[in-house]
Formats: sequence, C-alpha cells, structure tokens
Amino acid sequence: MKILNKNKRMPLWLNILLIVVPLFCVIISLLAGRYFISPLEVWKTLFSPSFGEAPTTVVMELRLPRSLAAAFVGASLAVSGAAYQGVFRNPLVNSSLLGVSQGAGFGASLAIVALGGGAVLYPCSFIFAVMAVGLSILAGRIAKSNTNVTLILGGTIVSAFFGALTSILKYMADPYSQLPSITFWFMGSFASVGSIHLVAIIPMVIGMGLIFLCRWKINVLSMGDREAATLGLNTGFYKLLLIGGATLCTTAAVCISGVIGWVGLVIPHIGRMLVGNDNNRLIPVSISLGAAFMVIIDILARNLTASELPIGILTALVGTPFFVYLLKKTKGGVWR
Amino acid sequence: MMGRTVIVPEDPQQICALNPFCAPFVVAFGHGESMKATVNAIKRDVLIQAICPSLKDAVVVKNSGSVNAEAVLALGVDLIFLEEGTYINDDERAKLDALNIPYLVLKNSTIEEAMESILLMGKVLNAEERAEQYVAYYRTVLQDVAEIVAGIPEDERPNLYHSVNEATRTDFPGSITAEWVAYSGVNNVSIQDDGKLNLSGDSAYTTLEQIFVWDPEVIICNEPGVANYILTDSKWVGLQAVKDGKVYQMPVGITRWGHPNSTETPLALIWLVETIYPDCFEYDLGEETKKFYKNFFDYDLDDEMLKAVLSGEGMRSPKTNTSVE
Repeated sequence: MKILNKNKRMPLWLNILLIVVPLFCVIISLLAGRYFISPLEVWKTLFSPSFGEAPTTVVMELRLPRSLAAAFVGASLAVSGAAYQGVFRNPLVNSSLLGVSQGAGFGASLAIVALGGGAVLYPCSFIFAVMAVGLSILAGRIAKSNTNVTLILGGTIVSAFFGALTSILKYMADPYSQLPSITFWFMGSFASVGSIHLVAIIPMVIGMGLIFLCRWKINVLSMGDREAATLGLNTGFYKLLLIGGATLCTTAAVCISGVIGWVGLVIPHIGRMLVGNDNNRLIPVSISLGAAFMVIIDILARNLTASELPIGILTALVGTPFFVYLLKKTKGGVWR
Repeated sequence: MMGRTVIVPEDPQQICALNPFCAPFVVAFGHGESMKATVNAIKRDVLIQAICPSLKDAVVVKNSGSVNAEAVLALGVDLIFLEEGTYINDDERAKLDALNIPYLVLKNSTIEEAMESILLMGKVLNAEERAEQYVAYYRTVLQDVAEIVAGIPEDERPNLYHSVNEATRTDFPGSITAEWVAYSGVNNVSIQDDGKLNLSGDSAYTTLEQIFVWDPEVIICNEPGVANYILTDSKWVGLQAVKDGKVYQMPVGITRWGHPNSTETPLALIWLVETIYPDCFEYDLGEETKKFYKNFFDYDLDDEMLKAVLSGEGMRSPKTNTSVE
C-alpha cells in the first residue's frame, strides 16, 4: 500500500523541473517564427512594449497568446486524461470521453454554418460541450446501473450522435468557405488565438485546480468503488469533483483550440513511465509535460511548413508511434 | 476547350450555368431569362439580380461540387456551361455524359483563357459582336494601363499584398489574380516570395507572421469586411499599410472585382492604378464603371448604386459564410 502514503513528497529538484521546463518552452516559442526578432528585442518587448510597432504586435499579439493558450490547453488535456484514466480505471480513455469533443465540434460547426462564425463560436461550442456531457451522464444512467462502464458507453453514444449532427452540417456547409473552417477546426489549431481568448484560461485553471487538490483521492478511487468506500472515501462526491474538473478544463481547451487528439491519452502514460502510478506525482507531472509538449508541437506547427499545419495531425503523428513504443517497453505492465 | 467537339443547339432555350465565371456572361449575351439553373454564387449577387430579375427563380443544382443530374433533367436543360473542376472529376463527368445534354467546359485560369472562353460563349449564344467588344475593351485596358505604368518610376511602385476572399489567402505565381495585378506594376509580395505559400488546389494561403515579414505598403481586399477587419484588429497593428491607412476595400459589382472568377477584372485594374498612383488621372472610374455595365449588360447604374459598388458594401446578399481568418 505504498501509493496510499499521503505524505510522500516529491523531491525538490523534480518540483523545480516541472515549472522550469514548460516556461523554457514558452520562451523558445517567443523567439521562433518567420518574422525575425532578436532575443534581446523580445526581452525588451516583454518588459517595455512599444505598442503600435510591428515587433511588439508579433510578440505580444501573435506569439505570446498562442504560446500561453497552447501551454494551458496541453496541460488541461493531459491532466484531465490522467484523471479520467484513474477514476474510470481504464488506461484507454482520454480527455474527450463523455462526448466533450464532438459536442464542442457540433457547436462550433453550427456557429460557422448558421451564425457566420467569428467570436460566437466559442460560447456556442462551450454550451454544446456541456450539453453533450450532460446527455452522456443521462444516457449512462438509463441502464439503471450507474457504473463506470455505462458512463463510458453513454459518452460513446453521445459522441456518435453529435458526430452525425456535425456531418449533416458539413453536408449543408458552403464548400468553399465554411467546410474548410469546420474541417480545420476538427484538426485543431491555435492559429486564430488572440489575447481575447485567454479568458478560457480561467475555467482551465479552476478545472486543473480541482484535479490537483483531489489528486490523492484518485489513487483510492482507482482501486475500485467498493474498496474506496471501504476505506471511508465518499466516492460519489470525489468522482463528481474529479469528472467535473476534468470536463470543465477539457471543454474550455477544446473551445479555443479545436479537437486535439492523443495528448490526453499519451501524456499521462509518459508521466507514468517517468514517475510511476502514484497520482500525487502523476497529476503535476502530467500538467507540466502536457504544457511543454503542446508548446513544442505548436512551435513545429508554425514553423515546419509555409502555412500552418493543423495541430491534431502533428500530435497524432508524434503521439501514436510513441504510444506503440511505450506499450512494447512497459508491456502494459503499469496497469496490471 | 479540353479538345472536345460539342454540337450545341442553335438557339438554346434552357441554359444551366454551373461555372460561376460564365454565368454573368450568359446574362450579358442576352440569355439571362433562359438561365434556369445556376450556382449559389449567382444567387447571392445583388447587382446581377437587379439586371436580370428572373434569376431569382433560377434553381441551384450544384452543391459541394456535385451536380444534381435529375434536377438538371427535370428542367429540360439544352445547354450546360461547366467549369474545369467538375469536368476532370470522373464521377461527375460520367453523370453528365449520361444526361445526353451538350455541355461546354470553359476555363479561366489565365487572362488569355478567360478571353477565349468569352469568345466561345459569344459564338454559342449568338452574341459574337458583344463578346468581341468585351474582349477588345479588356485588351485596351491592359494596354493603356501598361503604358501608364511604364511612365512611373520604380521607386513609386509600392509593395502590395492582395487578400483574396480571406485575410490570409493571396495570389500565387501563375494565378489569374497575380496576372492582372502585375499589370499595375506593383511589387506583389506573395509572388516575389512564393516559397512561403501553402498551395491547396487553386488557392494559396500564407500566415500573418509572414505578412509581417513582407510588411507591405498597400493591402487590397476583395471580400467586403476584410479591409475593416485588418484595420481594426489588434493582431495587424504595426504593419506599414495599417499605420498609413493604406488598406483598401475593392469594389464589388456583379462579382467581387478582380476575384478569380470576376467579370469586372478590367475595371479592377483601373481601380487599382487609380488607388495606388495618386498622380494618375487618366480615368474617371465612376464614368468607366457606368459605361461598363451599360455597354455589356444594358444596365443603367444610378449614382446610389454606383456608390455602393465602389464602396463594396451591400452588393452581396447577407452571407452566412467566412469568419475572416
């Protein structure tokens, strides 16, 4: 019962590393880009910006908001993936469980087709993502046995339902202007993120905070409902907190970046390889790794080709081979 | 074109224009009333519907690149104008071949091709004279502008960025938009630096950061609303063109002037020369515009309409498309 030892602290150097690595990536992302700005100039711009000049706009309006958004989105997806995997005791679930992605995707498509896109896209996708989660939970309850399996099943059903609705919208969309926007949204991108979208960081921080504070409880929950109850844990309450927190931050993330796959699945597993199964460590490591990973991917997306590469393509290309390697290396051992 | 031989009816009664470039010329060549089916773009243009009110009842038989063959049959169509994209799609071509309705494939990816297409349409629609007039006018404008520009010293020719439909979509080498813009003598930034473009089909995209690298002195935008967006959005602050307020909305008439499928490309060129060379007084754009619609569409543009066309506002019916980026 080593993992139930609540007081086991992480070593100081690991704590420092967890903060320094994502920060370092963000700083690199401010330097990298088509428009050349010397590191010294970037430094000056950050601390005494001269608004109205091109270098300031590039750093403060183009690179910094993207980079921050990427960091928070990556952290959110990774940590909610880790939380879901623990709570549902299933290594294959990820952050878009419970229909969040498809729900948000339908909301975004609806905004593009019916409302002309623009700023209305974000609240619209948020509302439908929350609606999808609600429906998933309802669908899971209809079976009258409120187990983890029925909940996952509910999520799958609702995802398929919203996926079909999105397909209808795609069919109706203008093939020259609307359809590419919808397709692009589903591949994920930080290209349109501006400083105004950073509002989404608030729900992400709240969601991540909830998971972070309850991280020790995930260890208990991951032993199974009955065992957890035997240990005196109010399982319903903590499940609600954890699933709620994970859903909140995933939803906010999906709303500003579109659907980005694999991060919520792969990053927690990489975390497990590094620090093991203890959620006391795994949760902070997932946050840090997710942020760093996403910022690096975004740097690649911006700089690899002439135009923007969709993020979802890169995360899948990088994530899937790594995942296979990981399976081979651990032989799934962590989960046995 | 496409090396095909097509036998067309002598006097087509039910025309189906599935090529957005061709549709306005069907009207110009006096067959607007016979155009029973068309593409969505035409249904959105305010001016073409003012010129030819019967277009309000024309049916849209093509959606998402796919033609509804049964709807075409039901209309009793006897002549179809097609774009290359539909023709080179094997499934679509098989469908059309099965209909046994003569169809013409018309291309317009260069100025020469566009002129050829117009002349061919003139022949088919028994309006050779008007087609020749249009092409002659086109050639005259190209030649006159070339002469005017030849007299303008290199250092007065600005670096220009051309936004096509979307803020970050632009010209690429070999495109018809690059071709007509080149006549104005500007340094078209996206052409000089084409390795920095992402080409997909017949459109090319760049990124905002790349536009900062180019730092153009002038930006022109064909889609209503884009110029205003560029001038007011915080992400575009600091660009030379934005600082100087030299971000211009292009006029919108029957089509967005200078768009790849535009009817008014000669006018777009005149507008551009007038806009970027303040010392150029060769043309009276308003008169030139009125004459254009009078000569080719038998339509008298009143002053209010002229103002709307030149400002580019309100000429396309409320749209449900495009976020600007």
